Amino acid sequence: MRYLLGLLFLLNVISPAFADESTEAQALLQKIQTASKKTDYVGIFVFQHEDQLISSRITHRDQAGDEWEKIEKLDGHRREYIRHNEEITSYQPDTKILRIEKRQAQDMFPAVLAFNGAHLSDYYRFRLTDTARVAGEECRMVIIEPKDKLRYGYRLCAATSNYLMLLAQTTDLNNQVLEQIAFTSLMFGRINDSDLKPSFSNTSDWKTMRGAVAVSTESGWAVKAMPAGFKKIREVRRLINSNVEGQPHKQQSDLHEVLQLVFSDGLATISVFVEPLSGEHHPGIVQKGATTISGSQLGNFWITVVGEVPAAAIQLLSDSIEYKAK
Amino acid sequence: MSTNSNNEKLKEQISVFVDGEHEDQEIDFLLSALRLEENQQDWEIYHQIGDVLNSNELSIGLSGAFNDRLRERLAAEVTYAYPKRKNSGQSRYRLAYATAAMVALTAILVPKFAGHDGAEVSAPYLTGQFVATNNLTHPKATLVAATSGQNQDAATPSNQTESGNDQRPRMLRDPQIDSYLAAHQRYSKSMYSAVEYETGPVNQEAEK
Repeated sequence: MRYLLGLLFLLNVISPAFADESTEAQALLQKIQTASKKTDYVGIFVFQHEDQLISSRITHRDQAGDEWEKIEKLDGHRREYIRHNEEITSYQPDTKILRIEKRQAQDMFPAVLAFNGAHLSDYYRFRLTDTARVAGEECRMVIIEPKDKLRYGYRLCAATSNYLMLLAQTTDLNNQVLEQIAFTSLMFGRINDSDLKPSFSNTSDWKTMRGAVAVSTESGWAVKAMPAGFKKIREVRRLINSNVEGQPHKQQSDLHEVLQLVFSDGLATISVFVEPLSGEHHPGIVQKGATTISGSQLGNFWITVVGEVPAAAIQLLSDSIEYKAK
Repeated sequence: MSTNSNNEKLKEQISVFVDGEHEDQEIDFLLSALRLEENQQDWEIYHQIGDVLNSNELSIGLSGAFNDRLRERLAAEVTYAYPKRKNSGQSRYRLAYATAAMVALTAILVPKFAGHDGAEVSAPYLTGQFVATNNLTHPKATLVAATSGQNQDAATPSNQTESGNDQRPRMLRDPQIDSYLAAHQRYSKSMYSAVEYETGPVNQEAEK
C-alpha cells in the first residue's frame, strides 16, 4: 500500500513534466510553421531518400505577409520553382515548359503541419532532446513517435535562434530513418529582388501549362476505416495524365479525370484516387522510402492509395473504401 | 544412371504429371523441373498429344507468340492459391488439384517470363517509372506485400516452389503511378515535395 502510494506520488510528480514537454514540443511545431513563412534566408538543402541525394538552393523572403520563394534544383534535370504567396511557377528549361499552379500543401519543408488544430498528442508522443548542430546552426531536436503502428515517426530540429526547421527525418517503427531532408548551408538576412528572379529571362517561346483542379462537392465516396485522427482535408477532381515523363506534348486524350480524397492527421497525409476502370491495371502494393502506394479494383472502379504511412495503414484505407449513394 | 536415361525418366514423369497421375511428393521436383525450357517443351508436347488423342481437330501447334502472350496475360492476373482438398471425392480432388497445378504453373511461367524474381522485375519499373522522374535511381525497391486475393493460409505448390517466399511480391506496373504520386505530393509534406512540383505532366492543360 505504502509502495503504491509512493508510486502514485511519483507519477503525479513525473506526469506533469511529461505533459509540459509534450506541450512545449507541440508549441515548437507551431513556431516552426510560422518561421517557415516569416524568415528571410538563402540556403542549400539536401533530400536523402535511401541512397539518393538531391540538393536544392532555396531563397525565401517575407515582406509584411508578401511571401516569395525560389527553389533551384541543383542535381539532375534543371528545374526552378518560384512561389509568390500561393502561386507557383515552375520552369523546365529542357522541355521549355512553364507551369503555373496554386500551392496545395502547407507543410512542405521547412514547414511541417498539414493543418492547424490537429490533436497530435492523441496519436503521437513528443519529446524534446538536447540541442544539435545542423548547417552551422544550433537547433533543438523534437522527437515525434507514433502511438500506433499506422503512421511513422519524425525527428525535427528547429534553429534555436529563430525556429527555422533545419532537419526533418521520417522514421519507421524501428526508428530507422526512411528519408530525410536537411540544410547543409544557410544564411539569414536580407534578400534582394534579383535573388528571387527566375534564371530564365526570355520564356516567350515556352509553353505555358496551368493546373486544372476542381473542388469536388461530396462525391459519395467515403473511407470507412482509417488510422485514428485522420480526417478528410480535401476532395478534388483533377486530371491525371496517363502518359509518362518526357512526353509532355501528348494529346489531351491522355488526360482523364480522377477523384482525389486527401486525409491527414496533421503530420502524415494519405491520398485516395478513384476512377472508372479502364485500360490495364495491376493490383499490388509497393513501398519506396516513406511512401507506400497501392492499387486495387473495386467493382468497376480503380482505387489508388498513396501516403507517407506504413503499408498497414494504406491497406486499411484501401480495404474500406465504399460508395454511398446520396 | 546416364544423363540420357535421367532425361527419359523425367520425360516420363512430366507425362505422368500432364495426366495428373503423379505422386504428391513428386510435385515439387516436377515443378522445379518445369522451370527449364526443354522440359516446358515436353510439357506442351504431351498436352498436344493428349489433345490429339481426344480429337484430331486439336492437332494445331500454337505459335510461340501465342504462348508468350498467354504468359504475359497470366503474369498480369492475380494469383489465387487454392488449398488441396485431401478429403473430398476422387473427381473433385482431381479438379482442385489440377487448379492448384495450374496456379503453380502460372507461378513458374510468370517468373520465367519476368526474370525469375518478382522483386528484380519491379525494381527497374520503380526506377524507370516513379523514381527516375525524381532523378532517383535506387536499384533496390522494397516490395512489402502480395496482392489482395492471395490466400496466405493455403500451403500451395506455388508457394512452395517460389524460393520459399510465401508472399509472392506483385508489382505495380501502372505508368500512371507518377501522376498519382505527384498529385498526392501536392498535399503532403513528402520529402519529395520540396524539390518536386515536377515529375510527370500532371493535371496540365495547354493554354491556348
